[in-house]
Amino acid sequence: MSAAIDIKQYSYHYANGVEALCDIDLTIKHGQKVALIGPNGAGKSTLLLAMNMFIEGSGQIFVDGLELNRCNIHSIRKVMGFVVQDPEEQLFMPTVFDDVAFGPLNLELDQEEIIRRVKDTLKRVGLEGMEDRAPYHLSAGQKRAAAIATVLSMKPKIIIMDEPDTSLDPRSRNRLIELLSGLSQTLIIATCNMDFAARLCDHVILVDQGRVVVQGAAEKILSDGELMDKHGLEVPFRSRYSAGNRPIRPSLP
Amino acid sequence: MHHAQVDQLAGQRSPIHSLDARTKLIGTLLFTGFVISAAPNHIAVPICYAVWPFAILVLGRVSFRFVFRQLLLVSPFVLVLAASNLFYDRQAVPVVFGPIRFEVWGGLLRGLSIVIKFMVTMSMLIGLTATTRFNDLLAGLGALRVPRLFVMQLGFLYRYLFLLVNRADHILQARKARKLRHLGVKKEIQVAGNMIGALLGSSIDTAHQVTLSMQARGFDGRLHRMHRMQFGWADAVYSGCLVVFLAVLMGLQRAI
Repeated sequence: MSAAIDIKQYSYHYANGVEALCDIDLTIKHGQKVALIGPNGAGKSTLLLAMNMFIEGSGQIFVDGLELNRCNIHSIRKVMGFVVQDPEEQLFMPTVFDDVAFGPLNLELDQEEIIRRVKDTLKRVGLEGMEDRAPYHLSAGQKRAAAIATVLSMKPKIIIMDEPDTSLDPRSRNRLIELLSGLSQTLIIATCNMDFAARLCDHVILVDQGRVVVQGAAEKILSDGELMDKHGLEVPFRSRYSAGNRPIRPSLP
Repeated sequence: MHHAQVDQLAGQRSPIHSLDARTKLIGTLLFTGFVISAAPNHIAVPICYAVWPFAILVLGRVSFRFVFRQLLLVSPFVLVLAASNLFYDRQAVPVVFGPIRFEVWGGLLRGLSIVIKFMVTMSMLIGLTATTRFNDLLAGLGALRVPRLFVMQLGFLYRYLFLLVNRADHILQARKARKLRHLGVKKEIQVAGNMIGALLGSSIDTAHQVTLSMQARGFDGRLHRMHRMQFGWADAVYSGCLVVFLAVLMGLQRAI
């Protein structure tokens, strides 16, 4: 069985010559929940864009066994959903219903199937009864749920998300984790929030300066204090608690 | 126009809302053409034309307060244009209201005619946008063979506009929070220029991100709609009434 994502020797340079991604090699299996972690500017978002062919570099990317290229891009976008960082940019239609139906409409499904998918998806993300609401009138947590619904309604095999936990309060974040944990799809999430990564993902890929530093089991990588510190990250709060049964407070200079 | 309110109005249900977007589009174009071509020194006929948009707004349950606010927002340019008529046409023109007869400047009549025509055609346009969902309008334009590129651009413009308005609002709030004193006209203009620059920069980024999220959801440049467009009896009745109404007013204009 082919991998969900298989990247071979992928590199990308910005127009000004700055190297954004360098010799990326990674494989993500179907059904895995993967956290793409790294400090700001490490190349996480750029790597997500590359997986969706919004940027084109050198090397090869295979999505669900299909090579990412201009001929296959439409087929690939049917199996891979992308949720951008800011839900305001994901939600651009007049109503929540229209936004969630946008993808299925582009898949040219019949009307009954679209209505069924939209209703099922909204129920699944906890937005049942909000079909006619304008997306910009929703709360931050609801906007995030609606943004995820816009992709879930297309029933993709793989979902990639850029910093989905940004500007969410703990309750909304918990709801999001609950929602994402219940998905059977392959999840690839770029995040700077190690607690979020630890609670949701079983696999971690650490990226820094455009290179994959390490990849492996989330528990092992996220609990390596030295590694986290070296790359400007931190051990998740829960791991710190469990290590010595008391929180470690950073000392002020 | 405020997007949220326009979208809300367009999402209502009424006999006008249920008409096919193409019927309303063609009707609006035809109506506008007739109003504009009314004689420039006539006032009575353009006022009579107002009956049609009035009926549309009433049947479409669009509040007059909303329409009036939109008219006020876009009126300054037209008011200046109308007022300028007073300066170059001061020839005395007789005005007859039944037994009352008096003379006014030709420029005043022309100016009034411009203002009335503007209000009538704008009300019709507001009636169109407030009773038709924007996606249906775009689909209607597409079905009427308007070039796809134009329809797409219009669609993007509409989508980005509300993001732009939000962003402008945030920038203004940030500005207000840090504005402790008046900086003088020159400096204020400079700051406003910088703000507009920042707004344009960020709106380009936003537009790019919206495009990415559209493409990621399979958008290939074609606009898909949930319901198929179909002309019905209501469209035939609407079109028939409009044609009769325009014919009657044309006859009236000739009689005058």
